[in-house]
Amino acid sequence: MIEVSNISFKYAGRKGLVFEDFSLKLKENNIYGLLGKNGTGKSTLLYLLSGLLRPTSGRVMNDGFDAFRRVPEMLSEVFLVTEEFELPSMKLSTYAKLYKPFYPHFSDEILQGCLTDFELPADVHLKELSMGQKKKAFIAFAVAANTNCLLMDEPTNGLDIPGKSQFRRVIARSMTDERMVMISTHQVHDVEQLLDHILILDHNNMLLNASVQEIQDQYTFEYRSAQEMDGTELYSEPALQGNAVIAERKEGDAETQVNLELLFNFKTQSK
Amino acid sequence: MSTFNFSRFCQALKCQFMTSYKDWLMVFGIYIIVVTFMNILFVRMADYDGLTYSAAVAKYGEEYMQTNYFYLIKANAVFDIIFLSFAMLFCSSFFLSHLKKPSWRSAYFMWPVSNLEKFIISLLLYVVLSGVITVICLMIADALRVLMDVITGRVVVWAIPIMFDPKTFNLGDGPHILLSLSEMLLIQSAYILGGALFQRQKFILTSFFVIAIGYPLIKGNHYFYTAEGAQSPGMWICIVFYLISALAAYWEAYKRFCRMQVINNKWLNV
Repeated sequence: MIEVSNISFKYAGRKGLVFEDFSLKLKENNIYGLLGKNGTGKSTLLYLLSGLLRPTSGRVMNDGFDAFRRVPEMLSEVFLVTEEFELPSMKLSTYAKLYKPFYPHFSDEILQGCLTDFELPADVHLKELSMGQKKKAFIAFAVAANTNCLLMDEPTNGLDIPGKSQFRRVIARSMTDERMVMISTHQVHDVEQLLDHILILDHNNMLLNASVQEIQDQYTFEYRSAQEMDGTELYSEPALQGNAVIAERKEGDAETQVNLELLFNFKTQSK
Repeated sequence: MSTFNFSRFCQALKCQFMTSYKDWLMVFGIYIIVVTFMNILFVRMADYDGLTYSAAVAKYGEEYMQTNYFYLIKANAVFDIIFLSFAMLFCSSFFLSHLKKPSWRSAYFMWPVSNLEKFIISLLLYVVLSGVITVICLMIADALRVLMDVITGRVVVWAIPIMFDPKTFNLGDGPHILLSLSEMLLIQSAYILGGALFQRQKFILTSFFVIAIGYPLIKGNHYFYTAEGAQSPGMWICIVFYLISALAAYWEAYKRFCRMQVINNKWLNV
């Protein structure tokens, strides 16, 4: 669906390349989690995927379209929820009415469902909303646009506590076989249960590019007391319950829930 | 791939207008206040040897005052033309001002409308609409000034007909008017190009280049064709040259717009 081929990218006036000969393939029917430390190029990658930045070399192809050409046929199938955004001063219903004709698969039903999940009325004036509520409204519109590709940069930042679970519900409900969602975040616990593919970015390198199933097949995530530590641990961190541990999963071991924070620390510290 | 789809274009124009009309209303209000104030200032600041207007009418006679008032209004019309030109050039250089912040740029570039449609919409709003708004403001301000003159018992002289009379500015005959119009279009297109090329200080930087390069060029051409006599082939060459240069500036501005990125820390959009 999205194919990044040998791209290099550098911001003007800054030393060093953000990406050099970087390649990546993203397929539909997946919710990708894009993780990485600050300044490793997560947002830059999202901008490159959506055509907002032009690679200095290489190509980003989105459903057969060169992303940077930003043709309407491609843009009507891509929605980017940026961390910072602006909404016009008008009613949400007016906003939806004005902008939905640009998205051929836009669904009023999904919009209504999302707004109900987020506890937002459809006829609310966007100016009257708090920042978090605006984000919910924006996410609701993005999901309702029903694009094949939904890219989100720190979507849970600014959401209240119920908002985070509402967000998970909204995204999980909106998934289809044709859709690809990519969530770039530092708030791993907010999206942990949602993701089915993990990408850990470290500057130019992809430290991890694996499905959750592959990770679960390879590792076990558990807590061990000091006495239980037997040297098989690949990585461990002290935790309230003892030690949070990643170990090789052996045959017959039960499948464990992926601890994303632990996995991230493991991958970034053992690179 | 459709570069231009009429129904999508109309919907996009509607969206852009609906999201920006409050800003245009504010511009409208500011223009009316500024121009009305200046119009009233022009006629009320006139000095009649320390006499009041009615005393001056009694002393110099109705006919003299009418002539005198006509010259005041003519000066006022010149101000109006300068205001209109300035407003048009300023708005031209800011025709991409809705791309000032990265968050605005990302939303705008991700909008499923073609680059050509977005570019034309920006031109329609920042060139055509802003021009129409400015002219309407000048008319309203003129009407308000005339109303004030009527109320205070002064002679009635409208500025708008003087303003749009080619004789006011000695533009000459048809080909000379065409030449002046092509010069204006060239200068305006330079501000469009400047608006797409410069990331910051668009108006100041474009003005600097227009004064440094455009003005000597136009003046040089002026000597070139006047040396050959009125309506010489040289003048027509200049007209064609200006029109082609204006089109090239518009085309280059469009190409710059297509290549814009969400993050650009450079001064120039190249």
